[in-house]
Amino acid sequence: MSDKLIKLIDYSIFPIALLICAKVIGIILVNTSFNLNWGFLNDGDSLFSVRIAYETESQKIIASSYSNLIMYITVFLGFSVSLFRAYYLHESHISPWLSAKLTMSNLLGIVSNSVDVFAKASVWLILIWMSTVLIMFSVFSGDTFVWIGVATFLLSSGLTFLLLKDYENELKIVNSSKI
Amino acid sequence: MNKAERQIKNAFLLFVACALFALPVFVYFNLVPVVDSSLSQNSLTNQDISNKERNFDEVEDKIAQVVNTENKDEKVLGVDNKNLFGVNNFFDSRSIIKEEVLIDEEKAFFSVVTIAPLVSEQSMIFDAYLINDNPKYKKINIEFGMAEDEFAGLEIVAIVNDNKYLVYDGTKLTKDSEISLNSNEMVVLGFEINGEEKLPEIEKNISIKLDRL
Repeated sequence: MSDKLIKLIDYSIFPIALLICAKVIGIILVNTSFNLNWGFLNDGDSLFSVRIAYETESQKIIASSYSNLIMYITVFLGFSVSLFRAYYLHESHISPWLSAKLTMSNLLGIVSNSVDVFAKASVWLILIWMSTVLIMFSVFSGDTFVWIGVATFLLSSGLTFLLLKDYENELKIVNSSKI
Repeated sequence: MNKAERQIKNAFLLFVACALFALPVFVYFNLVPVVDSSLSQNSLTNQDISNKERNFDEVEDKIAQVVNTENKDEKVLGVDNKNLFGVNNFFDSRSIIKEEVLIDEEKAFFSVVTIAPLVSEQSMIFDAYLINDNPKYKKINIEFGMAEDEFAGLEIVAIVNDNKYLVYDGTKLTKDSEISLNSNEMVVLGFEINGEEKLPEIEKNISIKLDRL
């Protein structure tokens, strides 16, 4: 079990750092692009003592919505890359043509085995649904546009479906090889 | 490694994994924005003025309103070409002058200023809130100009965002009489004029010139 946990921790450090950076950079970008009037608010009584404050409710919603969107797009792209590897650079069902091409280009190293593919994809899966839940929470709190909540939910569902489909294919391959 | 050690190791790794995945949630909730209406007091009319789609007519109207105000104690700052912040008038009133919109001759630069002069027997302090909010200009340069003879023996210190610059050392203007400000930055600009002599009539003696860089 410890080996699996170490692998999970190892694979999750970069995506989690990326997620946090995307949120922070998103806020900076939105503040700059929309020329928002913002500042820091000290709230000693709260668990989060330093908050980002905006002058008006509408500015707050804009900042929250678009920074959430940037954060989600980053995770979406990460998960998409992971899915691409699962579909096309997966040791168990890579196409012979691609395999030959990669061998000729000395790039066979980018082909991953099932454990790596699904471990990495699982990390992204957790993060994309974590982002989706956070965004939905924000939507229900009235801090984020509803369309962003709907779009993220649909996209996350779509990517999850694609991953499950690949997993199903993998199970079929494993079962057929046993027979 | 015996069973107990393995269990401890697993528990520790599980804790690390949970903490790792909880980190973005914690950061996210820390970054949830709030509304603080007191920001508007600091920004003056920053929101109006920094609106990129503002049109010049509105700005002109605003100046006209200030100029035509019935309260003659409130004077508009000079808007004569590049001497945008001519301080000619504001010591007449000894009161806070409201937000002004200042424009250069090309009608391209907008700023807001509020000035509250404080005068005592031996020193004079006034503050201006200055916003370089035109993204077109990366920096602006403030140049203090003054009738030097009038200030002989007096020390003039400009205070920009709590940093003090000796503008006039009692004999001549120093290199600090030119200060650069970054764009989209609100600065609090203040002056202290200190000396034992009777303070000079300040009007017509100091001007603040803005250059775009």
